[in-house]
Amino acid sequence: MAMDRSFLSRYLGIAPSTREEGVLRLLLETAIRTVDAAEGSVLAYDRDANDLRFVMTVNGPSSLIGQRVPIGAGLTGLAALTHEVQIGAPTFKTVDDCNQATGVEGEPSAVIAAPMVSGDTLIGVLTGVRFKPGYRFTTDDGRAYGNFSTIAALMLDQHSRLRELSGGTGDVTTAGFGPEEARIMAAVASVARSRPDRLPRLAQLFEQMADIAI
Amino acid sequence: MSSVAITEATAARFDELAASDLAPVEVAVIDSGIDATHPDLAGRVVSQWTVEDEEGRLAVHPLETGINNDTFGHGTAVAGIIARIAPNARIHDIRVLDARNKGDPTASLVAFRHVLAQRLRLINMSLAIPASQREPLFKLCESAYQRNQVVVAAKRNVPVTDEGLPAEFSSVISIDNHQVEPMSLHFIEQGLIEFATLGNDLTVPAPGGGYTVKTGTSFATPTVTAMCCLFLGRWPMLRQFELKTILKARAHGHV
Repeated sequence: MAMDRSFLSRYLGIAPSTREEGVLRLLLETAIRTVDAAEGSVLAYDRDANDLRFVMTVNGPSSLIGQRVPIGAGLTGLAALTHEVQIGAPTFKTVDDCNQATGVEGEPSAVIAAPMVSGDTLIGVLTGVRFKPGYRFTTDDGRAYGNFSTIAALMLDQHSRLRELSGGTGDVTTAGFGPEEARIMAAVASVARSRPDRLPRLAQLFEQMADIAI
Repeated sequence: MSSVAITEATAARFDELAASDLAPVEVAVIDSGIDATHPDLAGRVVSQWTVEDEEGRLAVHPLETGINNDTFGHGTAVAGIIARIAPNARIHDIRVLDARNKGDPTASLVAFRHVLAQRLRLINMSLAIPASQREPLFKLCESAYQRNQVVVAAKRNVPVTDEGLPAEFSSVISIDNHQVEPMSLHFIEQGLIEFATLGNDLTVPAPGGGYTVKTGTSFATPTVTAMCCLFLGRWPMLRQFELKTILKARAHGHV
Protein backbone atom coordinates (compact mmCIF):
# COMPACT_ATOMS: atom_id res chain seq x y z
CA MET A 1 0.00 0.00 0.00
CA ALA A 2 1.29 3.47 -0.85
CA MET A 3 -0.03 6.86 0.08
CA ASP A 4 1.06 10.38 0.74
CA ARG A 5 0.00 11.63 4.11
CA SER A 6 0.21 15.30 3.21
CA PHE A 7 -2.09 14.73 0.20
CA LEU A 8 -4.53 12.80 2.37
CA SER A 9 -4.56 15.67 4.77
CA ARG A 10 -4.78 18.43 2.17
CA TYR A 11 -7.39 16.95 -0.17
CA LEU A 12 -9.45 14.60 1.98
CA GLY A 13 -9.09 16.38 5.30
CA ILE A 14 -8.00 13.29 7.19
CA ALA A 15 -5.01 13.21 9.45
CA PRO A 16 -2.45 10.45 9.07
CA SER A 17 -2.67 7.34 11.25
CA THR A 18 -6.22 8.13 12.28
CA ARG A 19 -9.23 5.86 12.16
CA GLU A 20 -10.40 7.65 9.00
CA GLU A 21 -7.22 6.87 7.16
CA GLY A 22 -7.42 3.24 8.32
CA VAL A 23 -11.07 2.93 7.31
CA LEU A 24 -10.36 4.37 3.86
CA ARG A 25 -7.53 1.90 3.36
CA LEU A 26 -9.68 -1.00 4.56
CA LEU A 27 -12.52 0.03 2.26
CA LEU A 28 -10.18 0.15 -0.73
CA GLU A 29 -8.58 -3.19 0.13
CA THR A 30 -11.98 -4.83 0.61
CA ALA A 31 -13.35 -3.30 -2.58
CA ILE A 32 -10.40 -4.65 -4.56
CA ARG A 33 -10.83 -8.12 -3.07
CA THR A 34 -14.60 -8.08 -3.65
CA VAL A 35 -14.33 -7.43 -7.38
CA ASP A 36 -11.09 -9.40 -7.77
CA ALA A 37 -9.13 -6.41 -9.03
CA ALA A 38 -5.34 -6.56 -9.20
CA GLU A 39 -4.88 -3.08 -7.82
CA GLY A 40 -6.83 -0.05 -6.74
CA SER A 41 -6.42 3.54 -5.79
CA VAL A 42 -8.03 6.56 -4.18
CA LEU A 43 -7.98 9.81 -6.14
CA ALA A 44 -8.94 13.02 -4.37
CA TYR A 45 -10.63 15.92 -6.13
CA ASP A 46 -8.50 19.05 -6.15
CA ARG A 47 -11.10 21.82 -6.34
CA ASP A 48 -8.60 24.59 -7.11
CA ALA A 49 -6.95 22.78 -10.01
CA ASN A 50 -10.20 21.04 -11.07
CA ASP A 51 -8.46 17.70 -11.44
CA LEU A 52 -7.93 14.47 -9.54
CA ARG A 53 -4.84 13.43 -7.64
CA PHE A 54 -3.70 9.95 -6.56
CA VAL A 55 -3.47 9.89 -2.75
CA MET A 56 -3.50 6.15 -1.98
CA THR A 57 -2.84 2.96 -3.94
CA VAL A 58 -3.10 -0.69 -2.98
CA ASN A 59 -0.89 -3.16 -4.95
CA GLY A 60 -0.18 -0.35 -7.41
CA PRO A 61 3.07 1.52 -8.05
CA SER A 62 3.89 4.10 -5.41
CA SER A 63 5.06 6.41 -8.22
CA LEU A 64 1.38 7.09 -8.91
CA ILE A 65 1.01 8.99 -5.66
CA GLY A 66 0.70 12.70 -6.29
CA GLN A 67 0.13 12.30 -10.04
CA ARG A 68 -2.64 14.41 -11.46
CA VAL A 69 -5.45 13.03 -13.62
CA PRO A 70 -7.33 15.53 -15.78
CA ILE A 71 -11.05 15.61 -15.19
CA GLY A 72 -11.77 16.16 -18.89
CA ALA A 73 -10.71 12.73 -20.09
CA GLY A 74 -10.64 9.06 -19.22
CA LEU A 75 -12.88 6.81 -17.21
CA THR A 76 -11.87 8.34 -13.89
CA GLY A 77 -12.68 11.83 -15.14
CA LEU A 78 -16.00 10.59 -16.49
CA ALA A 79 -16.90 9.05 -13.12
CA ALA A 80 -16.00 12.36 -11.47
CA LEU A 81 -18.13 14.43 -13.85
CA THR A 82 -21.15 12.13 -14.02
CA HIS A 83 -21.08 11.09 -10.33
CA GLU A 84 -21.73 7.59 -11.68
CA VAL A 85 -19.81 4.32 -11.51
CA GLN A 86 -18.06 3.71 -14.83
CA ILE A 87 -16.82 0.39 -16.14
CA GLY A 88 -14.31 0.41 -18.98
CA ALA A 89 -12.29 -1.86 -21.22
CA PRO A 90 -9.45 -1.21 -23.69
CA THR A 91 -10.08 0.00 -27.22
CA PHE A 92 -9.41 -2.36 -30.13
CA LYS A 93 -9.13 -1.64 -33.84
CA THR A 94 -11.92 -3.97 -34.96
CA VAL A 95 -15.11 -5.45 -33.56
CA ASP A 96 -13.62 -8.96 -33.85
CA ASP A 97 -10.52 -8.00 -31.84
CA CYS A 98 -12.82 -6.39 -29.31
CA ASN A 99 -15.01 -9.47 -28.96
CA GLN A 100 -11.99 -11.76 -28.69
CA ALA A 101 -10.52 -9.36 -26.12
CA THR A 102 -6.95 -10.12 -27.13
CA GLY A 103 -5.20 -7.96 -24.59
CA VAL A 104 -1.61 -6.87 -24.23
CA GLU A 105 0.21 -8.42 -21.28
CA GLY A 106 0.75 -5.83 -18.56
CA GLU A 107 -1.87 -3.45 -19.95
CA PRO A 108 -5.16 -3.04 -18.06
CA SER A 109 -7.90 -5.31 -19.38
CA ALA A 110 -10.63 -3.63 -17.33
CA VAL A 111 -11.03 -0.53 -15.21
CA ILE A 112 -13.69 0.46 -12.74
CA ALA A 113 -14.13 3.99 -11.37
CA ALA A 114 -16.58 4.80 -8.60
CA PRO A 115 -17.07 8.40 -7.50
CA MET A 116 -17.10 9.45 -3.85
CA VAL A 117 -19.87 12.02 -3.69
CA SER A 118 -21.56 13.88 -0.85
CA GLY A 119 -24.80 15.46 -2.00
CA ASP A 120 -23.78 17.15 -5.24
CA THR A 121 -20.17 17.56 -4.12
CA LEU A 122 -17.39 15.42 -5.52
CA ILE A 123 -14.83 14.21 -2.97
CA GLY A 124 -12.82 11.84 -5.15
CA VAL A 125 -12.86 8.55 -7.04
CA LEU A 126 -12.06 4.93 -6.12
CA THR A 127 -10.56 2.92 -8.97
CA GLY A 128 -9.86 -0.75 -9.54
CA VAL A 129 -7.86 -2.34 -12.36
CA ARG A 130 -7.54 -5.84 -13.81
CA PHE A 131 -4.77 -7.00 -16.14
CA LYS A 132 -5.87 -10.46 -17.35
CA PRO A 133 -6.86 -10.20 -21.05
CA GLY A 134 -10.61 -10.55 -21.56
CA TYR A 135 -11.31 -10.35 -17.84
CA ARG A 136 -13.86 -7.54 -17.56
CA PHE A 137 -15.81 -6.03 -14.71
CA THR A 138 -19.52 -6.81 -14.48
CA THR A 139 -22.54 -4.78 -13.43
CA ASP A 140 -22.37 -6.50 -10.03
CA ASP A 141 -18.73 -5.44 -9.68
CA GLY A 142 -19.82 -1.89 -10.49
CA ARG A 143 -22.51 -1.97 -7.83
CA ALA A 144 -20.11 -3.38 -5.26
CA TYR A 145 -17.45 -0.76 -5.98
CA GLY A 146 -20.13 1.92 -5.95
CA ASN A 147 -21.25 0.75 -2.53
CA PHE A 148 -17.72 0.99 -1.17
CA SER A 149 -17.23 4.46 -2.63
CA THR A 150 -20.54 5.54 -1.10
CA ILE A 151 -19.42 4.41 2.34
CA ALA A 152 -16.03 6.08 1.88
CA ALA A 153 -17.73 9.34 0.88
CA LEU A 154 -20.08 9.16 3.85
CA MET A 155 -17.19 8.56 6.24
CA LEU A 156 -15.15 11.47 4.81
CA ASP A 157 -18.20 13.74 4.81
CA GLN A 158 -19.03 12.92 8.43
CA HIS A 159 -15.42 13.50 9.42
CA SER A 160 -15.42 16.85 7.67
CA ARG A 161 -18.65 17.87 9.44
CA LEU A 162 -17.21 16.84 12.80
CA ARG A 163 -14.13 18.94 12.12
CA GLU A 164 -16.31 21.92 11.29
CA LEU A 165 -18.33 21.45 14.47
CA SER A 166 -15.17 21.29 16.55
CA GLY A 167 -13.99 24.61 15.18
CA GLY A 168 -12.37 23.48 11.95
CA THR A 169 -8.90 23.39 13.47
CA GLY A 170 -8.01 20.13 11.83
CA ASP A 171 -6.67 18.84 15.14
CA VAL A 172 -6.86 15.16 15.77
CA THR A 173 -9.72 14.55 18.14
CA THR A 174 -8.67 13.43 21.59
CA ALA A 175 -12.15 12.71 22.88
CA GLY A 176 -12.21 9.56 24.96
CA PHE A 177 -8.47 9.62 25.67
CA GLY A 178 -6.69 10.28 28.91
CA PRO A 179 -4.37 13.33 29.33
CA GLU A 180 -1.16 11.43 28.42
CA GLU A 181 -2.74 9.91 25.32
CA ALA A 182 -4.09 13.33 24.35
CA ARG A 183 -0.59 14.82 24.64
CA ILE A 184 0.83 12.14 22.35
CA MET A 185 -2.00 12.61 19.84
CA ALA A 186 -1.54 16.37 19.86
CA ALA A 187 2.21 16.00 19.27
CA VAL A 188 1.61 13.64 16.33
CA ALA A 189 -1.01 16.00 14.89
CA SER A 190 1.44 18.87 15.16
CA VAL A 191 4.09 16.95 13.17
CA ALA A 192 1.46 15.91 10.62
CA ARG A 193 0.55 19.54 10.10
CA SER A 194 4.01 21.04 9.94
CA ARG A 195 6.29 18.26 8.67
CA PRO A 196 4.30 15.36 7.22
CA ASP A 197 7.49 14.04 5.59
CA ARG A 198 8.79 13.19 9.08
CA LEU A 199 5.83 10.96 9.92
CA PRO A 200 7.25 7.65 8.65
CA ARG A 201 10.32 8.13 10.87
CA LEU A 202 8.13 9.14 13.79
CA ALA A 203 5.99 6.04 13.32
CA GLN A 204 9.13 3.92 13.37
CA LEU A 205 10.27 5.51 16.61
CA PHE A 206 6.86 5.02 18.19
CA GLU A 207 6.89 1.34 17.27
CA GLN A 208 10.36 0.91 18.79
CA MET A 209 9.29 2.75 21.94
CA ALA A 210 6.14 0.67 22.17
CA ASP A 211 8.24 -2.50 21.92
CA ILE A 212 10.41 -1.30 24.82
CA ALA A 213 7.43 -0.16 26.89
CA ILE A 214 5.57 -3.42 26.46
CA MET B 1 -55.49 3.97 -36.41
CA SER B 2 -53.50 4.31 -33.23
CA SER B 3 -54.66 0.96 -31.82
CA VAL B 4 -53.76 -0.73 -35.10
CA ALA B 5 -50.31 0.83 -34.90
CA ILE B 6 -49.89 -0.40 -31.34
CA THR B 7 -50.91 -3.93 -32.31
CA GLU B 8 -48.58 -3.93 -35.32
CA ALA B 9 -45.68 -2.38 -33.41
CA THR B 10 -46.09 -4.93 -30.64
CA ALA B 11 -45.87 -7.79 -33.13
CA ALA B 12 -43.14 -6.35 -35.38
CA ARG B 13 -39.67 -7.86 -35.55
CA PHE B 14 -36.96 -5.24 -35.02
CA ASP B 15 -34.74 -6.52 -37.84
CA GLU B 16 -37.66 -6.41 -40.29
CA LEU B 17 -38.62 -2.94 -39.09
CA ALA B 18 -35.04 -1.72 -39.53
CA ALA B 19 -34.94 -3.10 -43.07
CA SER B 20 -38.27 -1.50 -44.01
CA ASP B 21 -39.02 1.96 -45.36
CA LEU B 22 -38.94 4.25 -42.34
CA ALA B 23 -39.39 7.98 -41.88
CA PRO B 24 -36.33 9.72 -40.44
CA VAL B 25 -36.54 10.51 -36.72
CA GLU B 26 -34.54 13.27 -35.01
CA VAL B 27 -32.70 11.84 -31.98
CA ALA B 28 -30.88 14.04 -29.46
CA VAL B 29 -28.01 12.52 -27.51
CA ILE B 30 -27.28 14.67 -24.44
CA ASP B 31 -23.96 13.25 -23.31
CA SER B 32 -20.19 13.60 -23.45
CA GLY B 33 -20.25 14.40 -27.18
CA ILE B 34 -19.94 12.09 -30.19
CA ASP B 35 -17.05 11.18 -32.46
CA ALA B 36 -18.85 11.76 -35.76
CA THR B 37 -15.71 10.74 -37.66
CA HIS B 38 -16.07 7.13 -36.50
CA PRO B 39 -16.91 4.84 -39.46
CA ASP B 40 -20.00 3.53 -37.62
CA LEU B 41 -21.34 7.07 -37.31
CA ALA B 42 -20.25 8.56 -40.61
CA GLY B 43 -23.13 10.57 -42.06
CA ARG B 44 -25.39 9.72 -39.13
CA VAL B 45 -24.70 12.74 -36.93
CA VAL B 46 -26.55 15.70 -38.41
CA SER B 47 -25.69 18.40 -35.88
CA GLN B 48 -23.16 18.88 -33.09
CA TRP B 49 -23.33 21.27 -30.17
CA THR B 50 -21.54 21.99 -26.95
CA VAL B 51 -22.64 23.60 -23.70
CA GLU B 52 -19.95 25.89 -22.41
CA ASP B 53 -19.44 28.76 -20.09
CA GLU B 54 -19.88 32.10 -21.80
CA GLU B 55 -19.09 35.09 -19.59
CA GLY B 56 -20.26 33.32 -16.47
CA ARG B 57 -23.33 31.77 -18.06
CA LEU B 58 -23.73 28.35 -19.69
CA ALA B 59 -24.94 28.45 -23.29
CA VAL B 60 -25.32 26.07 -26.25
CA HIS B 61 -22.88 26.65 -29.10
CA PRO B 62 -23.04 25.08 -32.56
CA LEU B 63 -19.99 23.17 -33.77
CA GLU B 64 -18.92 22.12 -37.21
CA THR B 65 -20.76 18.88 -38.06
CA GLY B 66 -18.73 15.71 -38.64
CA ILE B 67 -16.05 16.23 -36.00
CA ASN B 68 -14.82 14.26 -33.00
CA ASN B 69 -16.62 16.03 -30.15
CA ASP B 70 -16.03 13.35 -27.49
CA THR B 71 -13.09 13.01 -25.12
CA PHE B 72 -14.64 10.32 -22.94
CA GLY B 73 -16.22 7.84 -25.35
CA HIS B 74 -19.50 7.67 -23.43
CA GLY B 75 -21.60 9.60 -25.96
CA THR B 76 -19.92 7.89 -28.92
CA ALA B 77 -20.87 4.51 -27.46
CA VAL B 78 -24.47 5.65 -26.87
CA ALA B 79 -24.80 7.08 -30.39
CA GLY B 80 -23.19 3.97 -31.88
CA ILE B 81 -25.84 1.74 -30.31
CA ILE B 82 -28.65 3.95 -31.64
CA ALA B 83 -27.10 4.14 -35.13
CA ARG B 84 -26.59 0.38 -35.32
CA ILE B 85 -30.18 -0.51 -34.41
CA ALA B 86 -32.12 2.34 -36.02
CA PRO B 87 -31.03 3.24 -39.57
CA ASN B 88 -33.62 6.03 -39.61
CA ALA B 89 -32.08 7.90 -36.64
CA ARG B 90 -30.78 11.37 -37.44
CA ILE B 91 -28.51 11.96 -34.47
CA HIS B 92 -28.00 15.36 -32.85
CA ASP B 93 -24.98 15.54 -30.55
CA ILE B 94 -25.19 17.89 -27.54
CA ARG B 95 -22.10 17.70 -25.35
CA VAL B 96 -22.65 18.57 -21.70
CA LEU B 97 -19.73 16.76 -20.11
CA ASP B 98 -16.30 18.25 -20.26
CA ALA B 99 -13.71 19.89 -18.08
CA ARG B 100 -14.72 23.38 -19.17
CA ASN B 101 -18.14 23.32 -17.57
CA LYS B 102 -16.82 21.17 -14.68
CA GLY B 103 -19.78 18.84 -15.13
CA ASP B 104 -22.04 21.66 -13.95
CA PRO B 105 -25.44 19.94 -13.50
CA THR B 106 -27.20 22.93 -15.04
CA ALA B 107 -25.36 22.20 -18.34
CA SER B 108 -27.76 19.31 -18.91
CA LEU B 109 -30.73 21.63 -18.33
CA VAL B 110 -29.36 24.12 -20.85
CA ALA B 111 -28.97 21.27 -23.35
CA PHE B 112 -32.47 20.02 -22.55
CA ARG B 113 -34.00 23.45 -23.27
CA HIS B 114 -32.11 23.49 -26.56
CA VAL B 115 -33.49 20.12 -27.74
CA LEU B 116 -37.00 21.12 -26.66
CA ALA B 117 -36.73 24.31 -28.70
CA GLN B 118 -35.41 22.35 -31.67
CA ARG B 119 -38.44 20.01 -31.38
CA LEU B 120 -36.23 16.93 -31.61
CA ARG B 121 -38.58 13.96 -31.31
CA LEU B 122 -36.45 11.55 -29.25
CA ILE B 123 -34.08 12.52 -26.43
CA ASN B 124 -31.58 10.02 -25.04
CA MET B 125 -30.39 10.83 -21.50
CA SER B 126 -27.84 8.26 -20.41
CA LEU B 127 -26.86 10.62 -17.62
CA ALA B 128 -28.29 11.12 -14.16
CA ILE B 129 -28.67 14.72 -13.12
CA PRO B 130 -28.07 15.65 -9.44
CA ALA B 131 -31.13 15.90 -7.20
CA SER B 132 -30.53 19.62 -6.69
CA GLN B 133 -31.89 20.10 -10.22
CA ARG B 134 -35.03 18.00 -9.65
CA GLU B 135 -37.59 20.80 -9.95
CA PRO B 136 -36.42 22.49 -13.18
CA LEU B 137 -35.74 19.09 -14.71
CA PHE B 138 -39.23 17.87 -13.83
CA LYS B 139 -40.76 20.89 -15.59
CA LEU B 140 -38.64 20.31 -18.68
CA CYS B 141 -39.66 16.64 -18.84
CA GLU B 142 -43.33 17.65 -18.49
CA SER B 143 -42.84 20.12 -21.35
CA ALA B 144 -41.30 17.38 -23.47
CA TYR B 145 -44.28 15.11 -22.75
CA GLN B 146 -46.75 17.85 -23.66
CA ARG B 147 -44.92 18.53 -26.94
CA ASN B 148 -44.85 14.80 -27.76
CA GLN B 149 -41.09 14.71 -27.46
CA VAL B 150 -40.01 11.40 -25.97
CA VAL B 151 -37.29 11.27 -23.30
CA VAL B 152 -35.58 7.92 -22.66
CA ALA B 153 -33.50 8.08 -19.46
CA ALA B 154 -31.08 5.80 -17.62
CA LYS B 155 -31.42 4.63 -14.03
CA ARG B 156 -28.38 5.25 -11.87
CA ASN B 157 -25.94 2.33 -11.79
CA VAL B 158 -25.68 2.68 -8.03
CA PRO B 159 -28.76 4.45 -6.66
CA VAL B 160 -28.12 6.05 -3.29
CA THR B 161 -30.51 8.94 -2.73
CA ASP B 162 -32.44 8.63 -5.98
CA GLU B 163 -32.92 6.13 -8.81
CA GLY B 164 -31.63 8.66 -11.30
CA LEU B 165 -33.07 11.87 -12.65
CA PRO B 166 -34.91 12.26 -14.96
CA ALA B 167 -35.46 8.45 -14.98
CA GLU B 168 -37.68 8.72 -11.88
CA PHE B 169 -40.28 10.90 -13.64
CA SER B 170 -43.36 9.32 -15.19
CA SER B 171 -43.07 11.74 -18.12
CA VAL B 172 -40.02 9.82 -19.38
CA ILE B 173 -39.31 6.20 -20.38
CA SER B 174 -36.91 4.87 -17.73
CA ILE B 175 -34.38 2.12 -18.31
CA ASP B 176 -32.36 -0.28 -16.16
CA ASN B 177 -29.70 -2.78 -17.20
CA HIS B 178 -30.62 -6.47 -16.83
CA GLN B 179 -29.00 -9.61 -18.16
CA VAL B 180 -31.60 -10.41 -20.82
CA GLU B 181 -31.36 -11.47 -24.47
CA PRO B 182 -30.22 -8.71 -26.86
CA MET B 183 -33.15 -6.57 -28.08
CA SER B 184 -35.53 -8.07 -25.54
CA LEU B 185 -37.22 -6.13 -22.76
CA HIS B 186 -38.14 -6.72 -19.17
CA PHE B 187 -40.95 -4.79 -17.49
CA ILE B 188 -40.10 -3.94 -13.88
CA GLU B 189 -43.24 -4.52 -11.82
CA GLN B 190 -42.27 -2.41 -8.80
CA GLY B 191 -40.58 0.93 -8.28
CA LEU B 192 -40.10 4.00 -10.42
CA ILE B 193 -38.01 2.46 -13.18
CA GLU B 194 -40.14 0.83 -15.85
CA PHE B 195 -38.10 -1.21 -18.30
CA ALA B 196 -34.82 -3.09 -18.48
CA THR B 197 -32.79 -4.33 -21.39
CA LEU B 198 -29.28 -5.62 -21.96
CA GLY B 199 -26.52 -3.19 -21.01
CA ASN B 200 -23.70 -5.66 -20.27
CA ASP B 201 -20.60 -6.29 -22.36
CA LEU B 202 -21.82 -4.35 -25.38
CA THR B 203 -19.29 -3.85 -28.17
CA VAL B 204 -19.49 -0.18 -29.12
CA PRO B 205 -17.57 2.37 -31.19
CA ALA B 206 -14.84 4.30 -29.37
CA PRO B 207 -13.52 7.75 -30.24
CA GLY B 208 -10.66 7.56 -32.70
CA GLY B 209 -12.12 4.79 -34.83
CA GLY B 210 -11.82 1.66 -32.69
CA TYR B 211 -14.17 -0.39 -30.57
CA THR B 212 -14.51 -1.10 -26.89
CA VAL B 213 -16.83 -2.91 -24.52
CA LYS B 214 -19.22 -1.03 -22.25
CA THR B 215 -21.40 -2.06 -19.33
CA GLY B 216 -24.05 -0.08 -17.46
CA THR B 217 -27.52 1.43 -17.58
CA SER B 218 -26.14 4.17 -19.85
CA PHE B 219 -25.75 1.60 -22.61
CA ALA B 220 -29.06 -0.20 -22.07
CA THR B 221 -30.88 3.12 -22.53
CA PRO B 222 -29.92 3.80 -26.20
CA THR B 223 -31.20 0.35 -27.16
CA VAL B 224 -34.69 1.42 -26.07
CA THR B 225 -34.23 4.84 -27.71
CA ALA B 226 -33.42 3.00 -30.94
CA MET B 227 -36.46 0.73 -30.54
CA CYS B 228 -38.65 3.84 -30.16
CA CYS B 229 -36.92 5.36 -33.19
CA LEU B 230 -37.92 2.34 -35.29
CA PHE B 231 -41.53 2.53 -34.03
CA LEU B 232 -41.75 6.26 -34.72
CA GLY B 233 -40.20 5.78 -38.15
CA ARG B 234 -43.03 3.45 -39.10
CA TRP B 235 -45.84 4.95 -37.02
CA PRO B 236 -44.96 8.65 -36.51
CA MET B 237 -48.25 9.43 -34.80
CA LEU B 238 -47.43 7.31 -31.74
CA ARG B 239 -47.37 9.21 -28.47
CA GLN B 240 -45.15 8.60 -25.46
CA PHE B 241 -47.70 6.59 -23.46
CA GLU B 242 -48.38 4.47 -26.55
CA LEU B 243 -44.68 3.72 -26.88
CA LYS B 244 -44.71 2.62 -23.22
CA THR B 245 -47.73 0.40 -23.98
CA ILE B 246 -45.86 -1.23 -26.88
CA LEU B 247 -42.69 -1.71 -24.84
CA LYS B 248 -44.66 -3.24 -21.96
CA ALA B 249 -46.56 -5.60 -24.27
CA ARG B 250 -43.29 -6.70 -25.85
CA ALA B 251 -41.75 -7.21 -22.40
CA HIS B 252 -44.65 -9.50 -21.56
CA GLY B 253 -43.95 -11.54 -24.64
CA HIS B 254 -46.78 -10.40 -26.87
CA VAL B 255 -44.53 -10.38 -29.90
